[in-house]
Amino acid sequence: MNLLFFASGLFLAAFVIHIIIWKMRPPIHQKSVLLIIFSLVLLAGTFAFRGAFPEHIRLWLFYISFSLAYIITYSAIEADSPSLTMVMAIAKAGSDGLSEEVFKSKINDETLLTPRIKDLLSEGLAHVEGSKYRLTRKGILTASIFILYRKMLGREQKGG
Amino acid sequence: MESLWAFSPVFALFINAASQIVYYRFTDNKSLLKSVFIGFISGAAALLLMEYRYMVGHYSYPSYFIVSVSAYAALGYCYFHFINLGETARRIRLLMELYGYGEGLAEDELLRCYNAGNIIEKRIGRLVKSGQIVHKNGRYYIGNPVMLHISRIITFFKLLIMGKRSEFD
Repeated sequence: MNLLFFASGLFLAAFVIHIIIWKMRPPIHQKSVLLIIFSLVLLAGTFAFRGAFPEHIRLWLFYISFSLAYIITYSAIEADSPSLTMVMAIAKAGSDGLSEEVFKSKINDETLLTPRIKDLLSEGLAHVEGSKYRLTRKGILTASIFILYRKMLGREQKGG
Repeated sequence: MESLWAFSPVFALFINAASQIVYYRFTDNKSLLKSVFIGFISGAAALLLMEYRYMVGHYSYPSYFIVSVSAYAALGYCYFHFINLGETARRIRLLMELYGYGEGLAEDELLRCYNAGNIIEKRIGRLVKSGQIVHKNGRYYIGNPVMLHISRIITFFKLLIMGKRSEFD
């Protein structure tokens, strides 16, 4: 059980450090800082763990898979989900319901898309040239992965 | 050889992904969620087979088994989210729209390709179809409150981790 406790403890340590830093002062580039925290904790854990090489591999796989799962979940928590925003807006209206006009005034390009376009810029996936948005190499690579995956599935319809 | 067995969650993930893609591609009933489930089960079965072969004679096995199964579950969760990103993420859709225009797009051109209207139509359609919301006489009401409960849980985690209910606060 040594490996299991160590691996779980390591992930928990990274999580606690992340929460402490976020409570003190949330960073601007949150995902980058998350990656740094989780990477540094893994490095420290690798040196601290006394085990054979195969045990190290299991430790890394466990820790990396849980870290990735958390960072992905964090991205979902960070940005307001449109579906959940819609449901909350309707719930707030109570038993009277929410009219279509008021609904569309609350849920529009400014709330749903402008922040995401800004995210593309801050994450280095796109840049502005003149008045136009263009993908960076990182953006092209990211888009290519998803386009390739959809081609493999034979899925024509775009997501979003 | 022991080092190779340690990668069993990764091999299982490849089997997960391959099964999911093959199932979706070559069945008539195109259910993405079902293909994700089948992929996950296929990968889990492969993992159990690999771990069973390894476990004979290894006394510290229970810990290794739990670590491997947990790592596979987390990787499977990551793969599910990768698929989900392609289906629902606005950033990914924006990237895919821009990908088709090497010379770039102005903001109004980009919003013509993909805008709040598209998003609302898709998601409201899904929410109404699943009974999460009810559309009656030009007004929306909460139906089945499952999504509402999920929203409240996520809002709780936003408050806990980020200290605010919404990114707009």
